[in-house]
Amino acid sequence: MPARTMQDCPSELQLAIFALLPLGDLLSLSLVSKSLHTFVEPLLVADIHLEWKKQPEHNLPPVAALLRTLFERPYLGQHCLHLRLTGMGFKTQPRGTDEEPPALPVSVLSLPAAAEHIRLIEAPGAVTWLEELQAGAVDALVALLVSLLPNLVSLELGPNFTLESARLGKFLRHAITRVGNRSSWLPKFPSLKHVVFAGRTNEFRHCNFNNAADVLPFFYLPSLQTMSVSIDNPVTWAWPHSDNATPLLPSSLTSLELFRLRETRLQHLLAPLKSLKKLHWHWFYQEYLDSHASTYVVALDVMAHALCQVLGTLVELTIEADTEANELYGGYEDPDVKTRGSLRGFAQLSQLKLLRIPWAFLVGFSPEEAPGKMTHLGASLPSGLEVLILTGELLSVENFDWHDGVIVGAIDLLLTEEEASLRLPPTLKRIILPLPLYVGTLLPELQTRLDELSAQSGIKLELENIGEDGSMDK
Amino acid sequence: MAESKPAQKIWIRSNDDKTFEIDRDVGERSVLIKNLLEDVGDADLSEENAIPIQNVNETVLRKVIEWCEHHRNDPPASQDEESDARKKTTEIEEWDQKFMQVDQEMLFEIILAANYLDIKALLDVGCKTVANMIKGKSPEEIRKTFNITNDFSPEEEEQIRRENEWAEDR
Repeated sequence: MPARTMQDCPSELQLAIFALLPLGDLLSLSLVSKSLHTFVEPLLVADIHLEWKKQPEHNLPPVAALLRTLFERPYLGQHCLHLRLTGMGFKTQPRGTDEEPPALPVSVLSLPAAAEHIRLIEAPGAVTWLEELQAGAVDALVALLVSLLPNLVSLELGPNFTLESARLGKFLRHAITRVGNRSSWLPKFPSLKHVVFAGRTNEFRHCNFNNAADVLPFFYLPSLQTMSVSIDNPVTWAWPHSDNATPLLPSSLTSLELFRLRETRLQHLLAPLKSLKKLHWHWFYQEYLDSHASTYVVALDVMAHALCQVLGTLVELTIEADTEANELYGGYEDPDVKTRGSLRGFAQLSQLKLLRIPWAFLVGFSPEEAPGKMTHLGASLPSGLEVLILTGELLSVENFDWHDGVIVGAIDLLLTEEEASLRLPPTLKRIILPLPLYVGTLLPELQTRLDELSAQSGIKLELENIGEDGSMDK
Repeated sequence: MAESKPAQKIWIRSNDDKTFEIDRDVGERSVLIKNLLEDVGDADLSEENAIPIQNVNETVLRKVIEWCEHHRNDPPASQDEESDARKKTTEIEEWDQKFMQVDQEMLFEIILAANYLDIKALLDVGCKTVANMIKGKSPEEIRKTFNITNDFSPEEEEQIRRENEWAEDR
């Protein structure tokens, strides 16, 4: 007798059907009958995205409700493959400033169940962890949640979930880097490939936290492929369990997006990343933030030296630069920035095909020394570079003296002066220029000159501000 | 299309002993039939020697052949089938929508036959059709549509609503 109803279909067919349904329909299905509930329940948690934002007092934050369910249905955790916790700030009014994330209501959570779970994973500091949970500490709750999801493939923690991270860090060090005797309940996260750990909401207000020791364990994940992380500059750098030596990390990480960490600490991070192909680094300076490591001086030599840690593998390098006034200290204008040293070390990045960098980092803030700099610019470029994208970032810095005509003049020099052009990488095909620097369009005579230079040099000169993203995936 | 050479014929037989003569390229929409044909030499193809399709009866097989004939010239499926964009779409082209306007019993028979015969594109259309019958419906409407009995007690139902609370309002 052949099957004739949905429920008589083999489970792989039902799965194929339900995979086409959005969460809302899966929720409805789970309430249809017992057998459908059993079938659909694991699908509900397979891909979780929860946003935490300002909401009516009586509403339970979704993340707290999720934790309650995971303790009531312990087998569900293993079915969760993707967890995204997002939300940035808690605005009370549309134009108001962001408030800090509040404590989470933990009355919904069964503390005995949590205590038992923490005992099973043999986590250090169990008593304090429980006290933090009782106090509604977001960090303690996030750590608990992650510890219940051993089969995660991707994990994203947004700004409202990364304010503090000491408990999560302790748990991760215990779970990921622990060798020797392990509780079988302690997850190793063998499938976790993609991690996002965002910078905290209003980070400049939280100078008393430092997350470096908490996020570094992620780099030990055996399958990690892509990582986006905001790392506070530590006073002294220390990899977990490495006695300050460069640890031997899994070589699966190929793409890294990095926020906040400055060039003075970058070398330590990059040294063990032996397969890194793509780096997107958000250079950032704000007065009084990480002042032990972060100053208004861009140390170009240090930057180049740090990047040379991955010279054998790096194919794509994006450096974005930003500064912010620190309103806590009465700052309203962007702070000054200046460069020191040179990027000559970049020439050693032999695999690099695409470089995106602020014009001011490569050529300086002032055109004063431009002629000499242009002559030697080619010597700072990687020998196999194909695409060079120069951006107008940091142009609001007070000593940024460039304007459109001077930039075109400098490029003219670079491409026509024999000494300068001979130093350019023979592979260079395109240069994207930060033009026009300000609003408006480029003067026609400048555009004409660029077109002539393109034609003469065989290097395509393009303008940054016409929707060119410089992506290499073409 | 102007094809000078007549298409090569093959024969397949339903589990209630009805033999169908079809063009080879129509039959080869089914990976199962395609693989079986590879094991049989051309000389052995005959009406008497029809390929048995054990799990499918005459009515359903006729319907499946109709679909294969309409889709005989479809390009092969793209490689990145797992892409997210495709995963959640339940759009169905017009001809297929009409084709799938059958009673529910037949719909599931077609899905099962497509699964057995390994006709991926037809299986997709079938799954999408069922998914669209579920979309936007309340639990009670789903029960009605698929003739499913509610075997929850009110307390059990309440418990599940509570367990699902984290996912509501999104």
